[in-house]
Amino acid sequence: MIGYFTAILIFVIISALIGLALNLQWGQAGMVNFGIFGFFAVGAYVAGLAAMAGVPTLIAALLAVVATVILSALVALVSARLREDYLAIATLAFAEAVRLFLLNETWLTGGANGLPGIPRPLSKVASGLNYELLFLGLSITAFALCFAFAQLLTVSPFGRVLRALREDDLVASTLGKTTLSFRVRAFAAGGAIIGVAGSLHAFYFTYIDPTQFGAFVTAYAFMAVIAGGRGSNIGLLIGAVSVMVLLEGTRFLKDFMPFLDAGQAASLRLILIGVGLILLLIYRPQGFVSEYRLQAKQGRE
Amino acid sequence: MLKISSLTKTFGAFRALNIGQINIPKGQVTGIVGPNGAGKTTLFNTVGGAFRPDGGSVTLDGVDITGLAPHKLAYQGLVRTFQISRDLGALTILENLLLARPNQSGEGIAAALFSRSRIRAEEEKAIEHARALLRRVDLWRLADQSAANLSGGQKKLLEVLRAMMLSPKVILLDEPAAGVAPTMEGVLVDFILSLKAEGVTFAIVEHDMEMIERLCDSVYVMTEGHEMMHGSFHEVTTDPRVLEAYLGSMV
Repeated sequence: MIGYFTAILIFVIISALIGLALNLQWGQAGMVNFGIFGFFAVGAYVAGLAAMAGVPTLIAALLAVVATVILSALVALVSARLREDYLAIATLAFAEAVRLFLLNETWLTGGANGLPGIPRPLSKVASGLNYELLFLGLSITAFALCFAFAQLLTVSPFGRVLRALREDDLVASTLGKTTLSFRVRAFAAGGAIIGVAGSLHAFYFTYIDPTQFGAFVTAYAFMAVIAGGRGSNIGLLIGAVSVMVLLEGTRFLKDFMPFLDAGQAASLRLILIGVGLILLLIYRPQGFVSEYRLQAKQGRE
Repeated sequence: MLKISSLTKTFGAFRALNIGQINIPKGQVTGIVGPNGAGKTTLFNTVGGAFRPDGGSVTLDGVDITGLAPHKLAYQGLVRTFQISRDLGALTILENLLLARPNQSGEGIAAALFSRSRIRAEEEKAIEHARALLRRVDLWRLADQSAANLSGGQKKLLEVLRAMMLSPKVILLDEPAAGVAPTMEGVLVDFILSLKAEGVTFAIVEHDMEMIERLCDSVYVMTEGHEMMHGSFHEVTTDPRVLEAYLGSMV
């Protein structure tokens, strides 16, 4: 049972990291990234390939971050003039290009067979359940660092400019902000977090293939950001946990309703997830937690 | 100070702007009036960097600023406001002002992560600057509220305040009286005049003639993309050609 919970917690951390990145890119800067699963795949494959080539796992993870940062900056740069739906299409196209690359460049990625036997960090230190707990500790540390990174950006003047760009980029520009530079940096900062998520995914599963990086990754990330409250990092954490509880918790439906067959239980599960989201959007469309706002007036009367 | 010469802007075959010479003198409020479709907002969009001009030049204190992007104009000392207020509703009133402060090192990622004490000191200064401005128009009491909650007139004030955070030489005001309650209009006029007394230069596009009369040192009348006359409010409003421009377009 502890093993199961450890695994679930690691899933939550990985999906929360992706949500954290999306919350920076879309939640704050207003840049729709539907291709987030493509960047996630790049992070996982770079970390996996580097580790398999004998690079120490920490360095492999850093290489993954560098790769996702550079690719994110490039995608933001070439789609500089695209907004909203058009940016969504461009990022989706990027992710599709990544998927096709992973499937077809067999010499590098193993194609549909994927990459088996990715080395894990600190694998000599512990084994079995102890290793699972050690990996959980590593994941929590990585998440804490990324969360601090995102939160420091959110409360800084940098985050303020991102929110202004999301609201009205012409106004931000009129007030002296170089919109392109901020967009590229916001996308790259999110890309860094996705690189960490991809590395953790590769190291935890030790086997990766293209089917693990589908559009569902993007869908869960958007669900987490919307449920948590666009722009709030604490909210995102609550949102990511809620989405995972909903997804995992509904697996046990069958145990409580033995009169359902497997097909009915699976359908009911999807219905419950959908109803949960719709109820949330009706009764709390702004999400669980409001966006960060500077409160500076107190004590300055 | 702000000199607009031979500025043209065409959209397809339609020449929306065909300016001869418009001068906005330093420390004055210059009005730009004219019937709907005369090209007043196009003039602001072209001078303010939203559109690229097809010809002509704009200089500010002798520096050529023709066709510069809005963020570069802001650093040259020219800021504009918008006909329909474009408040950043999700930001607080104070954040709207802080955003506009130039040269903030906290807008860099590395500084945001590692130079927290420097940023805090800069923010303190920025907040003092913003507070001084907000207090002048009695908006400091609302500083931490969302800008979305402000009334139409307060939003117009906020736009002027935000512009003032950049300590600009010239502010282009596009229809400051549109959608503003009469009492707030008085506050807005008094505030603009007090800024003018401090040496800020204004160009104002406006339909409200009472406001033009109270604010402007001189007035340009535009028709069909061209400035047809320039003079005092009295000269302009008694000129038969101006009446024809307004009424003639109705025939």
